[in-house]
Amino acid sequence: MDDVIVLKVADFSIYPIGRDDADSDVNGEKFRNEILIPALNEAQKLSKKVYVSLDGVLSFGSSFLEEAFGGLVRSKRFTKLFIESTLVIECHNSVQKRYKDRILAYIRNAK
Amino acid sequence: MQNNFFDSCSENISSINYGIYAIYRSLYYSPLTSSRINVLLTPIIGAVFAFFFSQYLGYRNGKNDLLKDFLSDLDDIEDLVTTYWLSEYKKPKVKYFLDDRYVKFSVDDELDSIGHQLRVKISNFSNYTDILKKLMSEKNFLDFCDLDGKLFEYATGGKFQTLEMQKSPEQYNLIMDVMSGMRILIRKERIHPSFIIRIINFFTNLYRDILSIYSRFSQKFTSET
Repeated sequence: MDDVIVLKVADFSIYPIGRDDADSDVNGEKFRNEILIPALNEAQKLSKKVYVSLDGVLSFGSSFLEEAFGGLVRSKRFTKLFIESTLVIECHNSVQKRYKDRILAYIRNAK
Repeated sequence: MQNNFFDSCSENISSINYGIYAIYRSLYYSPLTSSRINVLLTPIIGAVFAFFFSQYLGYRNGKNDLLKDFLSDLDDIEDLVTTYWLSEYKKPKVKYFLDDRYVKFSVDDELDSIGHQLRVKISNFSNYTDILKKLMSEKNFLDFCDLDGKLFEYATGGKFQTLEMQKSPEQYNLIMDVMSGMRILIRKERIHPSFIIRIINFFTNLYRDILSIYSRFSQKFTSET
């Protein structure tokens, strides 16, 4: 597991809400800027993969996921190809599978 | 004495053998007794048929009940969606900033609460989609999962749980279209009671036809012999 960086969304919040600071303290923009982007930067330097674990999170709003993951592409810090090949979303049940599918769709469709 | 005993035993055995042979012959060799076979076999076939059919009906009823639960859950979600996406926010939402830092904002507490309910309800709804896998055809199930993803995206996306949240008939329309598609898929899998009655009638008529053909055939065979 040395070649992967594991991110647990539950460490950020078990009930993330909204897109930006105006919506809540645990929003998609904050998660992207403070958790995802640093992890992807490190992964880029060290040629690692980033595993995102959804375990422990009670539920997501689509707005949070879109802002966090779709916003990655819009931020232009990384190419879509790099994000798709580096981020691995772990899912262990049908609910997480749905979140995973949506996250991948947000990354794929973001411009 | 001993000879008498053996004689009487052998006579008895012979008569039993003859009796069994007579029954056997009457049942299987004589076309005259085809009605007896009918008398014996009809209830057995009927009982077996009734057993399997009752099992089948039980399965169908169980399946219909489960599908009804899904429809009922969709109704609950629809109520929440209607309130959340079509209500006017009563209180103006205001951002307060202090030293360029977010401090506090006011929201419509009632609709905010509906938003949480909606989010949790939709999340829990996905827990049960694995059950549908066993109840639906593969194609319908894949379509349903696709719509389930869209429901999540539309109902909890856009300005959901954000400060800019406002009523949105367009978003509501999108959500209702998706839910309508989900309902259609579920109803496709439901067997309506009248459909079951049609099946019962079909098999009853079929059974009667077979019996009448068989009896006509056996009468003809009997008269020829």
